[in-house]
Amino acid sequence: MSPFTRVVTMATLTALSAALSLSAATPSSRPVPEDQAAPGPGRELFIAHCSSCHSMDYIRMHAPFGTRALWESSVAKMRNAFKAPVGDEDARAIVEYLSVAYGPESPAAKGPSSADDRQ
Amino acid sequence: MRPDNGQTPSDLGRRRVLTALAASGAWYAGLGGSVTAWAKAGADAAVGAARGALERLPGKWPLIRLTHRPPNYETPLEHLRSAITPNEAFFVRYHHAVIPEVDAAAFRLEVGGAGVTTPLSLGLAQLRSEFTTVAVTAVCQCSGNRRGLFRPRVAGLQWEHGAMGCAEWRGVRLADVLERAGLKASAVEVLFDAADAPPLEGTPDFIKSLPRAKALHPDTLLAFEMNGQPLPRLNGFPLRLVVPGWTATYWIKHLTRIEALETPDKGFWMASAYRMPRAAFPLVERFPSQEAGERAPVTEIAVNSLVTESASGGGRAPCALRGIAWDAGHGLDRVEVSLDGGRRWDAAQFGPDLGRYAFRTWEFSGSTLPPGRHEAWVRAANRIGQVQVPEAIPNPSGYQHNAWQRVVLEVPA
Repeated sequence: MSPFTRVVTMATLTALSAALSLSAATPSSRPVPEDQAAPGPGRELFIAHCSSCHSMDYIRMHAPFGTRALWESSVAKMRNAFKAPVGDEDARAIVEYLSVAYGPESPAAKGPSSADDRQ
Repeated sequence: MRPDNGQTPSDLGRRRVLTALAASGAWYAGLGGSVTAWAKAGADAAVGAARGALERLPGKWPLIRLTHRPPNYETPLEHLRSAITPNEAFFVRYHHAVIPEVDAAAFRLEVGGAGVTTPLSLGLAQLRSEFTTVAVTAVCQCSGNRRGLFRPRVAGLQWEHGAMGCAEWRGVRLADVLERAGLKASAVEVLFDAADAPPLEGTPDFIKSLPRAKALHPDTLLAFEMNGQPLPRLNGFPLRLVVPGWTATYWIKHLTRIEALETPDKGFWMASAYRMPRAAFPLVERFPSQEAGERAPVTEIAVNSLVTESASGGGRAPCALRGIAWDAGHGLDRVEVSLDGGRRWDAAQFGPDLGRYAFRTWEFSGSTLPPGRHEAWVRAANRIGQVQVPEAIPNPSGYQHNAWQRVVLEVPA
């Protein structure tokens, strides 16, 4: 048996025990909470239109490269391909919100996306 | 970071470490307990910030959360060290948030459409008793696995390495069911619909089709078991399509309806989604009735490999790597490792062969490296001459990432 087997096993056990205590802190029997949307103008409109179909972690995942062009094409895809009932005016406001609150320079792009995003 | 959620700083710190561990793949430990980090072609430091923590879903071990509604959860690297991925560790991927809870006793599979003579309605017990039961060991891999490693970044779920797994799937041949239904010569595609549902009335239901030849392939199954157990709910209970060699987009979960078509399916998930520039990807098994100009459907899984453990060695100990390799079923030929920037490539040793569609483990023992920072480059090739590419092939949706891995080996002084 090669020496790295033992080392890897120890590392795995350490990681697993930490993982188990994490999951114990967030038991699956508890209803899954919603993510918090980042603060900013347009936040309520964004939540009203977008959160009925998907959680907010989709948004944060794209923040590190969340340029205005990306958010424009994402909102267009949600309207055109997935038929989200969002009017032109609301769509513009949502793109504006996302470009600021989830742009590459936003706090959302820098911070870790983990369980502490959710309330 | 949000300090106002009532958690102690130590809780937050621990979670952050876990997140970083899971996201960076730093489960790898080198000799002497020093953790070796990945070196990838792009700057991966930011990826960790974009991904979620480990989270335990019902019936699952802790998986890496990408999104929780719909649920998209990735298998941590440590569960990909073996050729078979445990059901509890298998990745979870849904397009729509409404996850069906199917009553197995009441379940019916409807088989119909213009391309059959005799529509069928089959219960699970009928499927088990009236058709030959077969098993195939095969990799189920999301088309967008490793999308999060593309540079420049591509929109979509930012998967790293774990949107895939390999299991023994047991069920009946789709060909046998289609034969019972009297598949006509005029049927060009076979369509698959499931018990899941889109969140809005206008949102396209997740429906896929297969070309006739792939539907009739003897390895294409309607599976009710995974690794000897009923399918987990989050992997498609009670019945899913298994399409060995093709990406997971075709492996419809919670399957309820099969329709033989005499004209190609025009639905969103076939006509628009899951497409890539055909010229950029050398495919053997194509989907001619769905090809439109240069945009072709994703079909086969690209030849690929993954390093799952590394040891840098040092002193008198040689460096070593372990991992898995796979392809679309054409047959793996070799896994090679270069320790000198690609001038010389040495072969790794394969582990047991579980079948042409399965993960195959491999192990590499290299030279003893002098102190310092080294890179091991890894690539797999198959028997029809396909080789992993030095850099991922850019495409708009970030599919088929099969670039060489570059693993950093730090040898202590």
